[in-house]
Amino acid sequence: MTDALSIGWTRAQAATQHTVYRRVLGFALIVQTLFSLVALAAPVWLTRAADLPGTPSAGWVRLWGIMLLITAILYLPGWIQPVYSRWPNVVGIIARFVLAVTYFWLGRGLRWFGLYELVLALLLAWSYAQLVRAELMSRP
Amino acid sequence: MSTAATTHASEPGALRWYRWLVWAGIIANFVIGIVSIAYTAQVLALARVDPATPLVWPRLSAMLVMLLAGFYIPAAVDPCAHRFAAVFAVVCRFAGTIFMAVAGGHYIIFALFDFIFGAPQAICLYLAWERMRAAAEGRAPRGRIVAVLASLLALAVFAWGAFQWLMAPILPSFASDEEYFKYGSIGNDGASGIPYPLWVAMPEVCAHHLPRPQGYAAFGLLYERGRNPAVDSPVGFSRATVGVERMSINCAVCHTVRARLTPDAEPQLYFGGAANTVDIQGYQRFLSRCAADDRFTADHLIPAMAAKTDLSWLDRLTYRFVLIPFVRKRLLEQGESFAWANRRPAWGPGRIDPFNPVKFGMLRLADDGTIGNSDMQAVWNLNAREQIRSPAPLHWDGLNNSVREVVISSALGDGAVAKEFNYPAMERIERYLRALPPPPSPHRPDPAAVERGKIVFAANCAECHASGGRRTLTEIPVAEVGTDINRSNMWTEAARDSYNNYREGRDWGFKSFRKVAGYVAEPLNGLWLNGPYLHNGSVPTLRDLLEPPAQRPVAFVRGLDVLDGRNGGFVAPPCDPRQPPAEGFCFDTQVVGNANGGHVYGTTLSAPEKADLLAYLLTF
Repeated sequence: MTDALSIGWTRAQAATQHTVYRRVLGFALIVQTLFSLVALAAPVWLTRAADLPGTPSAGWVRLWGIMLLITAILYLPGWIQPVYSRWPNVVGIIARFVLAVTYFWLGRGLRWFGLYELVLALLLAWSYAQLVRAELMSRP
Repeated sequence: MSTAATTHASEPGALRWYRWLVWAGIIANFVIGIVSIAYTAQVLALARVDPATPLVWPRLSAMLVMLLAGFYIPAAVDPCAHRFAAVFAVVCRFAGTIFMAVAGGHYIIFALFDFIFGAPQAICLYLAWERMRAAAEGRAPRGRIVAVLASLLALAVFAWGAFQWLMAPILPSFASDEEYFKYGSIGNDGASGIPYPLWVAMPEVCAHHLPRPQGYAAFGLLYERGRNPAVDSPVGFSRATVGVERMSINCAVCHTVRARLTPDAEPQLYFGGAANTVDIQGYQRFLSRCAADDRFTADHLIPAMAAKTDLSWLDRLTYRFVLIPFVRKRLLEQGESFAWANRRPAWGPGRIDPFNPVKFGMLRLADDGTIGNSDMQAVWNLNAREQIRSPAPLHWDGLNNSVREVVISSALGDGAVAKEFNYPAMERIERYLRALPPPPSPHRPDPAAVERGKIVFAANCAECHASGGRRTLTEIPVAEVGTDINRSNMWTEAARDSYNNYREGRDWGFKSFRKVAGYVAEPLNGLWLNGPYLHNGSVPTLRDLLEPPAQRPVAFVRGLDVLDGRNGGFVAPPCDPRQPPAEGFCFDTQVVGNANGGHVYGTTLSAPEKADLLAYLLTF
């Protein structure tokens, strides 16, 4: 074993981290999209089923849904090229932490959303850090 | 950094504009987000969107707007290096625009917000792309015409959106269903509402067109205690903002009755009852006549409006040059559309021709010469009706047996339109009317007579009017009941088919309109408030109804609210149709459609039997 091999990562390892991150982010984006569609299509049902705070008009829940959907769209460059398009990934992870705190603060059923966002943010942060590290370590 | 600086220095002007616009959008998102979180209620009021309780939802939206802005940053920094982000930034602005435009109402303001950045960004991005492609191909750039056309289109779309936002109704909320029934919107505010300042000024400017110097109260419109008739809404009028604050009628205008036991007593309002004082035709004619009057000008109206409402200089300008001419035109058109009614007998207070306006207006059927003048009807106890018979026929001739369809079609008849229609509001009104009981009779006839009257009732009336009667809530053929046939003739097969197929603005789902050649035998709940009697209100009291037609009053005063505790119904003195009474309306039974014949049941009873039956009927 050479020194280079002992301190560096192989491209295969980088590709693995790449795949792991994209799978986690892909899962998050699919869930986010599906959830957005539910909020758009059945806002009143969602309000009741998820025990969301207050009795908002359907319009506000739909507004929430469309913004989550738009966020998912804007996230796409980060999913397509996670190493090249770093900004959406970094902003996305920070946004999830902010959202998690906000959901906890808003309370009731939104706390579950907060928990989900927090877990997802941690997973994404860890896997993205691993990916960046692997990329850097696998380059000459 | 130096590379980026070099790139920016040599980038096409359109691309530079694109970047600046994206930065402007990002900054706007953050500013709007922060201000919305800090001053949520004020921003909601300014944007005129739905109220949100608690305010967490708009605050959450505000925060998401800021988070979204973060994703736009790569496009603002270097759209060439981040082409996906550059395109998606525009796509997402348009996604927001389209969604909010579809959501409609006052949410359109969010669509306009996204559009104001998205449209110029798209045009700049297109121009930059075209110029870079032209440079690569060594030709002159094209696309200027496309950009100009797109800019014009964007301006038009923005103007349309702004107009839609301005004209989206702002409806007041009501805690109780009863308050909604009295003052809530039925979806006709924009289509037929009259701007409030004009509405309150018209009785003053056109006082000479009022039958009495009492403002709108001269048409029997009802004001609850504590309300000022000069500036407040009468019962049966919604006051909603569609561009400007407007006054429009609702169901309660025809379904609220005013009564008092003695002339000196305080009048009481009973909601859901058949209006007895409201002259809806007189009110409509007043509006048209006022609009046609020489005094319907800004010079006369604006001072009268300013005396009752706050008018800014912008309001005065808008009213002078836009609203007064526009309202005048609309009221004159409305008068013309009701010209057919001038060839028919007057409705008078508490009466209406409910379906000919719909036939000749909304359904665009030809004037068939029919006369549908009839008494307004009480609409309480709808659930109880269905317990007697389901489905229970509604309207005098049972032309529909679906409560839902009757509520919706009544709103349409009052001017509701598809784009303003509000199904939850209709459901609220239906729920209220289904559960609304009639008020108990205040009359206290001799109990012994009442007991004897029960027996007479069972033998002579119960079959058609008792809750368990074999024919109660069935249509009795006109040939059998013998009452005036005009109301029955008014509803034709063509009208039935036309209404069932009515699709203006949306599929209303009507399928229960039908033609039955008879009149519904109604249960007698709330009978003490239902006078005058028969479907056309041609018999003033219950005592008169028990007399043979030849002995019933030929002409009597309608529109009074003092109860007749001896004879049943309201006090209705005789009158001469050639001389209008000081108060009320002289109803002439010799006019076509007003015949007081038929319904001879009980007329052959002995005098004591009639007295006993009347005592019992006074308890309903």
